[in-house]
Amino acid sequence: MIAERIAQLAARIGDQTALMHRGESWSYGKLASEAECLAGSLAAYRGQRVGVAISSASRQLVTLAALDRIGAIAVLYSVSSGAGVLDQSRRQLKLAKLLTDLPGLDQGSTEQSHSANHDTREPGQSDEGQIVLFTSGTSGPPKPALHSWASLAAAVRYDEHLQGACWLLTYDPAKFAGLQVILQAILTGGRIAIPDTASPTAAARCLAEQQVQFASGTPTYWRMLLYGTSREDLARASLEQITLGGEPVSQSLLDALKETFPAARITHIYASTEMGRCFSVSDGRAGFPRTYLDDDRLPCKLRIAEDGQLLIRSDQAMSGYLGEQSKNRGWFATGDLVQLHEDRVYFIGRQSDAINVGGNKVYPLEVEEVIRLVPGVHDVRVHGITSSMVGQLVAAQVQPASDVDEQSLREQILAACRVQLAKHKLPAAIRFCHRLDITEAGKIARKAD
Amino acid sequence: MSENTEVPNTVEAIINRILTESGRAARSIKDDDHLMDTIGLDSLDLAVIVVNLEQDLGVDPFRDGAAAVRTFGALVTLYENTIKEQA
Repeated sequence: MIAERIAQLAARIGDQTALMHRGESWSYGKLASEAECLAGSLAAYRGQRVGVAISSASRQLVTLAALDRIGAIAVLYSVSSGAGVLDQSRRQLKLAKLLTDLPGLDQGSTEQSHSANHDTREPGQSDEGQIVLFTSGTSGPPKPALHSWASLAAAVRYDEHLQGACWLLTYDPAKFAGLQVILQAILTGGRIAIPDTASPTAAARCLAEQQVQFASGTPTYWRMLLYGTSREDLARASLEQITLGGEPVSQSLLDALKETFPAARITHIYASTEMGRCFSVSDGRAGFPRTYLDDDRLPCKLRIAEDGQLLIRSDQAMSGYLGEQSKNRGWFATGDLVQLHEDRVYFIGRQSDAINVGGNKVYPLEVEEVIRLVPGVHDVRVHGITSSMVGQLVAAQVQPASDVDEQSLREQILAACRVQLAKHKLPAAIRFCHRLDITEAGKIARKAD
Repeated sequence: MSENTEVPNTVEAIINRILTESGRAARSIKDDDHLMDTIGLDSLDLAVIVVNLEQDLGVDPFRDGAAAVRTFGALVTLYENTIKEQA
């Protein structure tokens, strides 16, 4: 599907840029010809599992297109996984080959017999291109989710006007969110822009220089962009659409984005590697409408379990975890806790994020939101710390604005928390840092210290 | 009698900091002041004090299961002993 589409676009708009990164530009024509060429050399791997761990987004795309062309199962790894993890996984998943530009990894086949051409596709699976993506592993080790290109591309919006539009890629291109942006851009003949580095000023520069129209990132990424840049840095950006995903979105962040980019439409998306894209919200409010719980028109069905967990049943879900027999057609327990309030359903946090203070559960998000609103606080990460006396206590890692007196900020933070939060939710320890702990997926790190 | 007042001073300072940060008044603290009944600390306060004391003094006597103490003096002695043992 993806190989076919790139070839189609190459025939129509072969000279148009498909990807821009560090001054290097790839046209649709170049993507197509490189993919064809690579497909030729990989033809022997039809039906087999081929690992892909490539640092350049454009080369990764070429490789995935080539594997799609020959009907192999692409197993996609993030380069940040590291050689050790990759080596272990390739053995575990019995990869026929590993295509990588990481040093120190043998690309050869791990199978004894090179001439074996056994088809490792799941029984009953069609010929359509398949791809394995790893979950972000926020609450447990990453798991391999098997998708078809069709299920991955199900949420792509097709519109003639999107041809030539510029899309900012901030996510890891080897993960679900990154692939969503790549597919949306490439399948509609758009142009992907990747900032030179992960810094906020590089992102602002990219937004301005490339005249990005569509930008997508985690709430943490957007907060970093807002607080790490000045009005002038962002003045030349002309965003039409801002998308957030991967973490719950707070009202204060939505309001701040609206103020900074008044012309942009702002949407937040609920999706997971396993479930695909479930629903989106563009009404400027955090959470989602209660009516989504009964809406048959949504591509997924939503329910709230007894324990407050959100349950989802989706047609765009993965086929299942690789190697597991059960088909994923039942209700999927997302691990995300929600709360009904009037006409809205709000996200409280992941079950696994709960900090257990003497039997009382505290969710970091609630405390973070209170602390974020204290003047002088740029951003904050709330997490659990061990307490020999009550099991766990709440702790806060605060990124202060520059020139702020830490002692008085500490007092103000505690005063604000005291007014708005129950006693067991108050941070027992406050640490000031210049950079917060953020995961590779661009989300606030949640594992307890 | 120990001439070293570092531990008692630190413990008193942390207790007062926890008191003032939670909107209560600081006070002078004597050895036989009862942590809960006299000074008004509850178990959550004590847990917070212990975490802060670990940052400053480097030890947590309760991690290895020390029994709860009732007075300021007993708390100080517990910390002094633990520091000596782990030195």
